[in-house]
Amino acid sequence: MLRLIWTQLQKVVPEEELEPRVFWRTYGVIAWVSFLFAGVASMLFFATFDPIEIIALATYPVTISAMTGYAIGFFLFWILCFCSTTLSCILLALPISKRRKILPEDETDED
Amino acid sequence: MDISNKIEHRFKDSDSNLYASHEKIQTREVKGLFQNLRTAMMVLLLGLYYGVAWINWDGHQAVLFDLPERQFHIFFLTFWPQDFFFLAWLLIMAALSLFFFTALAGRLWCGYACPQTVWTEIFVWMERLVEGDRNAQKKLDAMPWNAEKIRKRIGKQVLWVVFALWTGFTLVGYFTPIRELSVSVWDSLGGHYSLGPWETFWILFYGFATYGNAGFLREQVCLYMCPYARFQSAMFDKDTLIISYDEARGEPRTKGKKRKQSETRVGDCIDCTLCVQVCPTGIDIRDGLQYECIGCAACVDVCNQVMDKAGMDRGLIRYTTDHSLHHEKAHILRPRIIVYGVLLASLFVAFVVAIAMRSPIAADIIRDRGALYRVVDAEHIENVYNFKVMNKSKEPLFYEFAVSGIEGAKIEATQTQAIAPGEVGNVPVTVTLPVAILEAAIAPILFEISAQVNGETVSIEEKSKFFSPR
Repeated sequence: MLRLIWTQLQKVVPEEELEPRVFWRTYGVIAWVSFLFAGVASMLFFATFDPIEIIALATYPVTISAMTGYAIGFFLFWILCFCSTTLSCILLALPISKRRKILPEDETDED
Repeated sequence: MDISNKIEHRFKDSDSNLYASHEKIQTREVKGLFQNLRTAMMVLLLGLYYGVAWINWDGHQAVLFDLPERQFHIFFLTFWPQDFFFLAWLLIMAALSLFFFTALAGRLWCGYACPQTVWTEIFVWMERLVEGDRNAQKKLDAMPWNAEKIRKRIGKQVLWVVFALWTGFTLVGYFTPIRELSVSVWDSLGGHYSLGPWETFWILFYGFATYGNAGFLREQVCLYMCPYARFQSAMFDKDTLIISYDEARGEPRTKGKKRKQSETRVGDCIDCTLCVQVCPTGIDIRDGLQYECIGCAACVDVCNQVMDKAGMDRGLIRYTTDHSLHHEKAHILRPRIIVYGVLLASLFVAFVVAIAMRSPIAADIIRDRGALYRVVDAEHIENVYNFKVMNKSKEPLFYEFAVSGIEGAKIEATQTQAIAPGEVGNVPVTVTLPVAILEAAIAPILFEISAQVNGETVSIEEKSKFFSPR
């Protein structure tokens, strides 16, 4: 699964961006910033809604504790923020074909 | 620079600085005034963090963010989700104080109070305890893996991991009563696993975060992860207190023998590079003000020692301002300081007043979802409400309910038992109004809820709506 994601990433993200140090730095920053805003979002959301009440209103029977409710909420926000930032970063990186036009002598041409 | 150059700069830099591999920074130990201040702050802040969790107050843990019960206890104060407004207010004040102190005195926060700095410092202290000073650490790094290196590395890791886990445990202890938590942890260590899954997870998660941030990432958190480090320069002006090297006095920097042989004037800087060796972010303060500088003043301490030894005046590197460095007039009171200061002070006063004047009772009204109204007879319509009454006082309370401003209203509330301190109770309330006074299908209605607290009548008003077939 991870390998599949990796090969797909190689097709869309410039090589340098996948260089381990750059890759970990990029995704580290994404994870960290998402964590910050997931915290803010959870705070705002759960100050207004009690997870127990939300669980009671679920369309299918759900049996989880309040703590699990908070944790799930937080991770949901985190994953959403993470996905949104990741997509922004991928879109902001110059597409490979565009780079070939701008940098004709670029080493990534060889493949 | 045209676009392709820019892109080239951005992408082809993989060998140069931008994407360079991180080099471990091993700082030399410093002694001096600011180091003492920093150590004192570290002891105070860590002491508070690890200690406060164990203090009890009035029969409950003094500081406890009880998520399942949705109550935040902070000593004699208890906050409910309804008080979220105070938290937002507090955060605004925190942000404003950051602006205020940054404009006034630069990165005081980073150098003395930031958890990243404080925990890094204690981790560095543990590292020194096991591996010795900077030179000993460098030697150990270069050493092949022999018994000594293995012993020291394991020793350091054990100290770090235990301390990190204790940090994670303490953090969870602010959300789950720490005394009960410690019993569960103890039982779990003894083989009888009684720790909740989320408690286990968060202890490990925050333990790992502490270990990673303070043991491994260190200054990289400030350089790559911290938003404040990137924004703080916007809050600076020429009168902000910064740590600066006095270039006019120090340059041309000259080493050892050359100082005596030189025929021209030499600067006071003897180029001993100690200021670089003590810097936790690994910069050279002599290159001028840099965003990497966290204002810890380690270079000030070490340079003062060197100046003392060399028989020159202290303060070649010192706390100063851009203006005074260039012999211009310094202004402490300036518009931005006054504006931030006044705003902060008034927000603070208002905050204290608002908290002191919080009503000990509160109520939320939820209309009965089943039926909008019930026709009692030709002249009367009945609505049912569910009152969620909250007791923020220290004694059990009975509540009284009244409809204000409507003549002929009949109200019937059935509170079967007293609501305990800190509890929320449901009280069904039935209101019957004469049809004659109802002008629209939905009419506003105002309730007065009162209770005897400490022998005094406290009352609050809450709005709702009254439905009728009109």
